[in-house]
Amino acid sequence: MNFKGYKGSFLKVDLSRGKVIKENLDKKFAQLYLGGRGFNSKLLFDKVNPAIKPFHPENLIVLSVGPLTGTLAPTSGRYHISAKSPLTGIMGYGNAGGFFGSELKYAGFDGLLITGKSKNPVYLSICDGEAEIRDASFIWSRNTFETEKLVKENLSDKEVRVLSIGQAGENLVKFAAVINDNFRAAARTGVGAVMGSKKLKAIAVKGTGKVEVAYPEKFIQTVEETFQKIYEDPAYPSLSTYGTPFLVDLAQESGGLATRNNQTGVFEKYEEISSHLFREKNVVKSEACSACPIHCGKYASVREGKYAGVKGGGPEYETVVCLGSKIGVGNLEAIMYFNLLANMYGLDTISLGDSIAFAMELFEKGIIDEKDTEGLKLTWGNEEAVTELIKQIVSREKFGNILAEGVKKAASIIGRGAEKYALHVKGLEPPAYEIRTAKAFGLGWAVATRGADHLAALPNFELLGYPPEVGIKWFGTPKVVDPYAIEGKPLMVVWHENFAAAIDSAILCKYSTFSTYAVKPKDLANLLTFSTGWKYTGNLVLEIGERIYNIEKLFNLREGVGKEEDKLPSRFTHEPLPEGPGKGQVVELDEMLPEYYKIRGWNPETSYPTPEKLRQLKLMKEGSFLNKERMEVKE
Amino acid sequence: MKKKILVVQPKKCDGCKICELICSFTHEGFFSPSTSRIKVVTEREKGLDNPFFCLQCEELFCAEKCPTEAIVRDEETGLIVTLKEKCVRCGVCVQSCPFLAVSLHPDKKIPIRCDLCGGDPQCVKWCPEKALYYVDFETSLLAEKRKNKDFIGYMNFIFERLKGAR
Repeated sequence: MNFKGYKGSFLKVDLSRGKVIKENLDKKFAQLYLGGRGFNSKLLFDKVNPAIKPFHPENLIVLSVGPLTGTLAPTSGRYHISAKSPLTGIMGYGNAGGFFGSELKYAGFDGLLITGKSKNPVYLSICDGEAEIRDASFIWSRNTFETEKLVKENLSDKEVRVLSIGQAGENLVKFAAVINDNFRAAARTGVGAVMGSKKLKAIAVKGTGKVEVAYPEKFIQTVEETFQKIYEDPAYPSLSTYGTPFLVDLAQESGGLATRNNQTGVFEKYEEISSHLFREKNVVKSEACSACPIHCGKYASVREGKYAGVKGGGPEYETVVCLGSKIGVGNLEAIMYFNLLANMYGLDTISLGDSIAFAMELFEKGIIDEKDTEGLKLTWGNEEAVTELIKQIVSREKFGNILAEGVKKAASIIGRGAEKYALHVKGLEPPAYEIRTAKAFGLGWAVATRGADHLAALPNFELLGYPPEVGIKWFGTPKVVDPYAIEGKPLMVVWHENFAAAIDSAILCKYSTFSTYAVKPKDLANLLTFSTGWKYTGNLVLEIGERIYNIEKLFNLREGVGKEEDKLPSRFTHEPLPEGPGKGQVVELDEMLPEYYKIRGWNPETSYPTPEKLRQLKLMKEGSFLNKERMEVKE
Repeated sequence: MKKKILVVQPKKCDGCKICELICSFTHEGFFSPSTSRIKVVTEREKGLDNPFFCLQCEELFCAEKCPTEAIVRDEETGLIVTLKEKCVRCGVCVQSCPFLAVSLHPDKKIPIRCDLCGGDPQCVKWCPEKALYYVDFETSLLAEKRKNKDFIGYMNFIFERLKGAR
């Protein structure tokens, strides 16, 4: 079958039987679910039922790209990797840039479907339409940098793209990441641990093929216009110059710089972790992902002092906060070191930082002491203790073995009231931004299908200081431009979630789309139309996104995770911010939720999608397991 | 006519490979880095990105060992070209170019190299970092050299190579 935009082929890998087969991509499936996140979520829904636990051999790892991947569409070099999450037990996924995604497309595939479990460590090598499962004993127990280097040597090809797990994934650390192209991470929800459970150490890919689009002239013209829009985007200068750490400065100014396990929103040592200092002292150069004109990635090094010699990609904003202010570390070079360790061992820097922040607050409150930590003094900002703890988490030794389970399970192991300080939604630790100063983000975390997730909605709209007229135009109310207001936020979140799901499926980066909306749904529709030759509109793009969001919701409902889990830790809903510009703020979640469900077409009593909504999204069959009584809205 | 060449300031390159994609699109009508006439060699672990392309050398390293004398300089444009009817697709030119600037087309198996897009190089136009320049060979090298320290090392290297060839 000759698809434009797509390659028309999926690779199925059964690690138990050691077999690989190629399967055609179904046209209807592609039209309903687009690619990337859409493909992954639907395939997980179809093939992974509640009886299959995250480390069961039948749990699937799906890695997909989309109809824009490998083209010159700006920021299109991404892939999406999903599995049932060992951290949360529900829909899990990560999304990363670099060059791996594009290379997979040049190698002839729209995605990989990996099932089973190998007896011995293996890696998967893909080259121009062919694939092979190879022995990985020579890289097992190596870190991700060594793995990437050794795989390239093993294949005698320096240009092969490698995705791998580090020791954290091998040791089933629940928030282990997948690392590609040295410093790019698909980190959240522990997909790396699922790879570890399957004894799949790495995936190498090399492609010399091509990606064809249906209307080359129109496509390249639209791409050129999109480049221009990105260059004119007000966020472009900051992102390209400072990279994502520029958000650290914005967060501090608005009182949203999460500090000491979110006890406050301003950090007294903020100057020491600011992006200006980073640029001045450490940034060497920009490192872009495939087809990206923004190049927010920064290659940085520590030139002198205690951490001299540390070098590599990042750290990104999330990392600076989660392994910085959240654990009281006011030293950018220490953060760079922790970031390097996380990349090497293959860890999610968000969940890692949050787990340490959780332990430090327990230590501060006297719930745990040096007996529990076997001598580690977990005081705020204790860099040596953090370094030691990261190593313990990776190797699952001593107190680190408990934190390696993530904060939710760690709290239940520790007991003694530790739950109160375990910040998570559905088992996933929260990202950097302090949501008490950004209410749409708060709602977004509570309802996101993979747990506390800023990227499910990413409603930056409320933070951009738009005039009220813009708020009326986009979401029908002037108040929506105020980050502290809750009016209009449910609609804002639903719109963003739907669009974001389509973006994660196309796949583009959220920095070309959501930083200040350079690419809108109709722009994405144009790129998709000229790439695939199928007619897309802005509304159709949003409808596909809505379908994807609903299939993820159905997956979670089938796992028994429903409305009672759409909540936030009480710190965010009941403890007002004690100081700073956001002083006194909490997230009024209960006031936003009913309206959110209503706009979603979900029953506000149960959060079940209504039959009408499922019919509209062509998901009747998928939703047939739901209790009919609980779907109907009672007047 | 005055010879114009493509030059690069490698320190500015951030390895996005937009040049490779627009090159393959311009020449082939699809996206495929392996058909690109410009090649960005990256070493991410060291933070290095270096674009390579045909420098339109004075002495033709690629032509030296060509068994069929298929590589010539086009009198009119000054560009180095492979005569399709003479080329036996052996790939010796790919091996002999010191600048990694010649490659074999993965489908057609003929050697491909930069043709400066007929005087309007698309990579220069699309490079987000403005790391690529299309300059007058004789004059602007010196001008650029005076302006920028990074430029000197790389251009001296090429210049020495070219000078030695004369």
